[in-house]
Amino acid sequence: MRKSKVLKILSYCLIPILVLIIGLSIFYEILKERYNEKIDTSTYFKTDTFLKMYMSDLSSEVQRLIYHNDQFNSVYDGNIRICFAGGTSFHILNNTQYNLKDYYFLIQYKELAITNVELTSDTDTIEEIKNFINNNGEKKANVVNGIVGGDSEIFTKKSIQHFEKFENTYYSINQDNSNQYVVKQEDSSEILITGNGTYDYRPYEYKYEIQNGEVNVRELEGYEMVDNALEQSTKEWYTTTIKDFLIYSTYSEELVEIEGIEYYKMLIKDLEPYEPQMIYAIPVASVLLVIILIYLIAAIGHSKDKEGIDFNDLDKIPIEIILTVGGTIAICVIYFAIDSLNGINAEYYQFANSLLLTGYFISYILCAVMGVTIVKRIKAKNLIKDSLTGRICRWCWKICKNIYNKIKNICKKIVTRVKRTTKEITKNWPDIIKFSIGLILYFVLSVFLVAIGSFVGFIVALCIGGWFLYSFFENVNCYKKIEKHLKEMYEGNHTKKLDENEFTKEFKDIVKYINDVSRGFENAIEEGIKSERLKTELITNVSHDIKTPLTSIINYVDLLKKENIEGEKAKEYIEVLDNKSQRLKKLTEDLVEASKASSGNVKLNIEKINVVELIKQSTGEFEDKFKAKELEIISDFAEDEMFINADNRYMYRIIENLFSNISKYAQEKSRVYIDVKRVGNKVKIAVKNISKERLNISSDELMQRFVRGDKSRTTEGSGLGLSISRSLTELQKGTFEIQIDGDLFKVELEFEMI
Amino acid sequence: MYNILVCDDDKEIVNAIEIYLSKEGYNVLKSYNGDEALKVLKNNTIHLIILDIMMPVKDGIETLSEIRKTESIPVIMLSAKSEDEDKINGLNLGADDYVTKPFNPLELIARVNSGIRRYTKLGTVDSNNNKNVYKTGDLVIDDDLKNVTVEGKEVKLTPTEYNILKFLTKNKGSVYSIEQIYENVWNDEAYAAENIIAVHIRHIREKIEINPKEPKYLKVIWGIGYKIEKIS
Repeated sequence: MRKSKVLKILSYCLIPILVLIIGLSIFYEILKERYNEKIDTSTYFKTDTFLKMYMSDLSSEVQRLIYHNDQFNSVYDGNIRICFAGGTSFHILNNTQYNLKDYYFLIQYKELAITNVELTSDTDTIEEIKNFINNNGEKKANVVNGIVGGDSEIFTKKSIQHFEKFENTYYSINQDNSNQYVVKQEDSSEILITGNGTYDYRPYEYKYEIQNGEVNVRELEGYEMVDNALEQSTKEWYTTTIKDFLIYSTYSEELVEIEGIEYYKMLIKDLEPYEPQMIYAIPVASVLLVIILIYLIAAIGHSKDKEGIDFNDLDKIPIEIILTVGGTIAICVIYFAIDSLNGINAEYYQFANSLLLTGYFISYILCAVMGVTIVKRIKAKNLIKDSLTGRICRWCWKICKNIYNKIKNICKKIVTRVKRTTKEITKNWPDIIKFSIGLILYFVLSVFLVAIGSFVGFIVALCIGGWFLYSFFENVNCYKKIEKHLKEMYEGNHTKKLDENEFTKEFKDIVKYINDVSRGFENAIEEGIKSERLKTELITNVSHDIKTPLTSIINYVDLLKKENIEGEKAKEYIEVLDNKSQRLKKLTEDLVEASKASSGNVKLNIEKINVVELIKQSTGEFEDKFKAKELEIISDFAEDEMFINADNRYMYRIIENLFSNISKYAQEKSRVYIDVKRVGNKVKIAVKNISKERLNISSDELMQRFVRGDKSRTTEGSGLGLSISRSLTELQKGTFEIQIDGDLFKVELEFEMI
Repeated sequence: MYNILVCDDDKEIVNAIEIYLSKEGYNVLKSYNGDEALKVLKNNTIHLIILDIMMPVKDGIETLSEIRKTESIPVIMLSAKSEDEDKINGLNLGADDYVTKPFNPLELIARVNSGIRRYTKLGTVDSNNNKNVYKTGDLVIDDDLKNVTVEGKEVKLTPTEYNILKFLTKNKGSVYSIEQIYENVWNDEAYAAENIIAVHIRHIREKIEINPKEPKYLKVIWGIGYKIEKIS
């Protein structure tokens, strides 16, 4: 149900039809009431209602004349200014379809006049207008200085009643000097107007009083006369009554239909046949509409292809933009369609209908699109989240939160700092008190001594102050000495000791501790060196003792090999003996070398050597071994000659070890990179290769003695190679670093360049 | 038949050496300490001595200095002491060669052969006083015949190897870098010399040296270059 496309489309189509049915039904009722009103012309003009409306219309024209006369087109007849009020006509009933026929008026007040008679060359004087009015319209209604005369009996009798309270009061408050004035309401301090210059007020309900440049306003009840409280110099005011006016007006007791309402009448006529059904149509359509809307709200956003709410690009645009754009277009379309109905002739009835329907459907589609996306968003719970307002709010919230956090952090920092300082102070409390008391005492004493004015006292004060300063600087000096000494210790010099006698009492303990620590270090280092030397000696001696029997083993195994011994097994055994004895030999040699190198028990013959030459020579030495494994050597030398200070034999020993490792452990048919670069004032030799076996071992472990990459110890080699290389490198003041990255095995050597 | 005196306190080693040398056609006389060796030397005509250092009664160093007082026969020191100082000390006291234990029997035999050849044929080589002959020690290059002999034995070299060796021998005692060798031998700028020279040098070493890793004639000065040792 929820995911059925057919149902949804059907619903979308049904909605506008149902809305149209309901809308037309309601519209029909309203129109019928408004435009089907029948007026009985034979009695209407005799009613008091008509007379009252007629008089009030004239009355409002009077007010227009007085207050708005400057807005009209006007001509002058001598002193009299005649204003044209436009083609004003008299509506029989407010906003209905009829006008009064031949309705004309001319109202004169002192030198002002207003008329709805069009001002042409024939009608631009008072007399001409009066004539025009007299010649048109069958009934006349004149009010001359409050005396009413007319062609209608009811008019003459009753019209004066409607002018009984005809009073208009006009004020002009002039404040010619530049004094500020304020308009205030009496009994409250509310200021209505402030300003300079001349302002006009038409106080129907307010009384204005000006005192000392301040204008007070008091609310009046009804049309109460305004008393003469305003001074003559600051106001101009006058009250008019019906007696001040000359009013000439004519009309015919006939109605004229207002143009432009034909459309509605035709629409009513068209809809009339369906009137009986409308009673049922409204409730049925409303119920159906509600059901469809509920269904759609439940179904929107669910589709067959997707789980959850189906969002498209439109749904990602902030809701405000959609509402603004869609709403504006919809409103414009509706407004344009309805507005164009006014003044439509009967011949355009069909066209207007189709125009209206088009507008209606366009608006419907827009509303539907907006409605769907809103429902979707509500369902996905991101209506507010994705909207601009939501985003802005969230953004503001974030900023507020950030600011709050920052302030919190700062507060925290301040608090901890204050706490720490307090702690510091409390910890050193006794010292601080001592120091403070001493300082205060000194000041008191010196002030006292100086105060009694004796020269000796002054000298004593000076001496005490000098002593204070001296001991302070002495302590600072001690502190500096200790710092210097500790720095030396940190750099590895433990032989120097501090002389206790050079330090003040406070520092004696510290110096003693430092010296003890230093002595401890020295002893430990000496012990270390001694034991290392002993170890080397031991290893060397043991290796001599091993070598002699090993010589016999190797030689006799060799002799055995040369004997013609029967049996495959015996030959195999001899082969094993041969291999192992050779390995033992290599191991013994390496062991001695490693022990010597690591203990520094090696005599170095330092000379200037060219690293590039060394690498070239070494590569040449290993050419055959590399070729056997089909290793491709790619060497890259930054310069042709890069010199370092080193022992050439040990340098070769290092490179030999590395290359030997490569020939043993590198993946066959892979590439080996040898780079010689200059890094700052150093030469960096980097050797990279791909390991054949997995290197499940860390670079630190690999560098330890007797550890080999393959762990199984089946291949030749003692596992001492890298350890020897590193020791020899470090003996020659270089650095030796291994990096393992997956199967990439990389060794980097660095030496000081010269 | 040459008589060779082998002196070592380890009887098995002496026996093993005897087996190897007998196969080469030498007559081996055995002794197990320095005193015995001196006695044997007094009573026999000895052409070469193989002497161990660490021995009871009288050690190798003492014995060597005793021998050198009267004899000029070649002495090969054979010791488990492989330190540089030991070798230098031994050679300074008059030893002609120094072999460390455990030794390669073939190397020992080669060194014995070399010692015997030098001792017995000394002076005969000098007769060939040709202009186009370059020599150092027992390495002789006859540029007319284009042949190379080491201790009288002819060595087969490729033309390139021959040229390199000739150049170095002509300038024996001086060290030449790869680039310099290339420029002098090929008379060309060294563009991609890389390790061609280094490979050739290793091949030459393998052909002319008894132990290429401890060369006697063609020495490698790592990081500097190569040279032919100047031996009178």
